[in-house]
Amino acid sequence: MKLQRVSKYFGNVPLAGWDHAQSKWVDNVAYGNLQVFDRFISARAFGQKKRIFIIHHELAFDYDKYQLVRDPSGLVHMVESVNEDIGGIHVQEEYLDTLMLHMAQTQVTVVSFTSTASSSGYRGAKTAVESGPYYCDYERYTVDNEKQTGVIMYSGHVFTLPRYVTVVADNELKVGTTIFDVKEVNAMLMTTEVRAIERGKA
Amino acid sequence: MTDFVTAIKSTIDRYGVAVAEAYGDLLFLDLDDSYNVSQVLETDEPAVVWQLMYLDEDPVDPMFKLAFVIGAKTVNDPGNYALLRIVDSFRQVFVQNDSIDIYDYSGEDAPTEKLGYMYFTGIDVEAHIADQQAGYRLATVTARVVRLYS
Repeated sequence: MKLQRVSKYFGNVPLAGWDHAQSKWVDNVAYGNLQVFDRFISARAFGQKKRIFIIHHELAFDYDKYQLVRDPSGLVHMVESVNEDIGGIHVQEEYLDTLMLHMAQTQVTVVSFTSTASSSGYRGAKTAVESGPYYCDYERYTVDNEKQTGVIMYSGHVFTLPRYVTVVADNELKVGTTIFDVKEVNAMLMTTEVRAIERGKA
Repeated sequence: MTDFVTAIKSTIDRYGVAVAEAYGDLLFLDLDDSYNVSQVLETDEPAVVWQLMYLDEDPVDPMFKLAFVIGAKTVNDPGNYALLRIVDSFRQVFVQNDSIDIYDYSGEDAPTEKLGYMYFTGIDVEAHIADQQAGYRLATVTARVVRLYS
């Protein structure tokens, strides 16, 4: 059975890719099939944040160059993982790549700091340097329920960013006017997970 | 007077940074730099620290008496050998009966004008101080300072 033909036949959803080196969208970097993923993906986020995209292997795009893709409805997703079909004794040729897409609906600015040392060698005052905004996914949760006032104080904030965005534990993240202090940076498959605390709320 | 105090501070900074760099580019902190100190001392990073204790005219400008404490904080340092090695390094830098020249190193460009000198009269290792994460030990350095007027 020529499975390649099937994957080609159903590959009719075009994706635009974000060329992060050039900072521009490139239309139609891939044609594939966008499917639902109806499971819990974490303790707090439901499956609607993730989608499966299957693409004919020979039409696969550069997953490192295009770490963000945009579907025809305009939603932006991160390429979170790629499972390439492996040829073997039963399958004579690779025919399909399966991508896990993670929706990126939030835009975040990364604030890093530089300082110039004086001639004594003592480091100078920090100067903030902003970069972005970058597409990311944002989750927040709380371990404290304020029962008297009903006000929810979120104590945990998790940002999932495409891998090309550099974040270190010394950085701050800004969403609108809210500032988050970065506490942890973890590599997660093809994305970067950042755990942070909201400034003034910890 | 203000510029001369800055020059003295930056001169001590310069010698302290040299010791910090000699031990693997450790952090170097003025304990009066409260923002950075609170951040760094709570972490598990080793650091070289110092603080100006007093600088008084004695009896009058251009002669001063000076004291400062300088030392280190180490972590994962069984027996505090690394700690005392760093503290002992300052005995090689601020040598009793020896002097160093004072320049204003507070700017980005290297200074050229000698503003004075400090003559060291003593260096004493003080008691160990422990915080929640680590211990640090300081040495008290006393000196006489002479300001030069050009």
